[in-house]
Amino acid sequence: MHTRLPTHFTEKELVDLCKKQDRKGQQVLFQRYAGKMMAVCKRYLQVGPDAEDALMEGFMKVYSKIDHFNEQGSFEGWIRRIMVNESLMKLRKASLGFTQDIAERFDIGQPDDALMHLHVEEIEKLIAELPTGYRTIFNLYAIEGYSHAEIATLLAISEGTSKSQLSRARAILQTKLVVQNT
Amino acid sequence: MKTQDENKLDATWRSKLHDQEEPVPAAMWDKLAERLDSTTKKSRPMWLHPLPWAAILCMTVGLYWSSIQTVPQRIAIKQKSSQKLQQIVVEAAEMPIFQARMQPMQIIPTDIPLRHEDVLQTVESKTEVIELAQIPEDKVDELYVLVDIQPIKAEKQVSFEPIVDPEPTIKRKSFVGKFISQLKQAVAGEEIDWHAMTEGNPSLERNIHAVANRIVKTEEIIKVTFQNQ
Repeated sequence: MHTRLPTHFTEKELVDLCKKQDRKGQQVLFQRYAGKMMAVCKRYLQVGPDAEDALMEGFMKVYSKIDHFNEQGSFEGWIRRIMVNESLMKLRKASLGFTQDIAERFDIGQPDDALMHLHVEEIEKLIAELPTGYRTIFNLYAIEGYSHAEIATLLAISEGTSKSQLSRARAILQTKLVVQNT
Repeated sequence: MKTQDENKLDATWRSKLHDQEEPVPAAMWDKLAERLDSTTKKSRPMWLHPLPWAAILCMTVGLYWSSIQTVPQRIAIKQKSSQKLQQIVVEAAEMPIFQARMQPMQIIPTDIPLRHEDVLQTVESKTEVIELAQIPEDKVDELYVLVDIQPIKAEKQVSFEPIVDPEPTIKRKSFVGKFISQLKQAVAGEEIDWHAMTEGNPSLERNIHAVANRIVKTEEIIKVTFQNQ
């Protein structure tokens, strides 16, 4: 039988309940953020089981490290960062190669208006079609808002590599869009 | 300009994807709860378990108790327990099975007809005791003997005197006394008996052996060192 859980908890109440290792609170937290976080994990890990594993590990980390959460920041942002880290760890296990260190930026011209008006599903599809390395950096920079310095630290690459890979990702996206439209 | 446009595009996509949700497998929470349960049980800190605390408490009480006991108190406790043991032995001795074993063997005549009535002329009662040695052998043709092995209550209380170590009758010489006597022997030109000195003092004997061994080993080491040089 599916039990109906209370949905009226505020973010602070949820955090407090989770800090007390309250199982109901943990379940409410899971149900509130699992869908969004699954989307985050899937953007990095295309394969279903990997994304599910990352989500599971991520939530385990959320519950175990919740005492370290600084309540001044956004709770969702904190969870999201954990999920991103878990996804990157999975990718690292699959030995990602960020060997390219290209200083030059690819000239992709002006962003097309079409790119601006894409639907969510189309954006997701385009991103999913990018090669893993480009996709990871594009997700981190464009979608999550990390800086190149942060990306360089996270992926143990140089900032130059991060920048070049992002440019390349943008170029690929635009090319794909052009191909789709023609 | 280009960077601004890129940022604008990123912001647009970010806002679109921010609230995007993906379906989560239904059984995922159950799996997660299972893992949380197992982790919570495993990570229970040691100081929350009652058994170690009970063991520590017992040890502390035991150590404290032994530390506050002075030597006379300990002796008193030992004496008390010894008396209690003796009391148990006395109570056990009163038990019927022990009483039966303590009774001397008795020969009790029965109603069996005897040929020579004059032999047992004095015996009327069944309970009267006749010592076998008192009946002349030539007057007894046939004798039936009944040995009563039924437990009988002792008339006299069996008393056990507390076991006390008898005072040593032979006064042993102390170590100093032995040493002086050996010294006298040495002065008189006789050989010193080291075994006599260490008699009754095993620790001293061990120590003497240890010192002797050390001396022998040291001598050997010195010899080897000189030989090498």
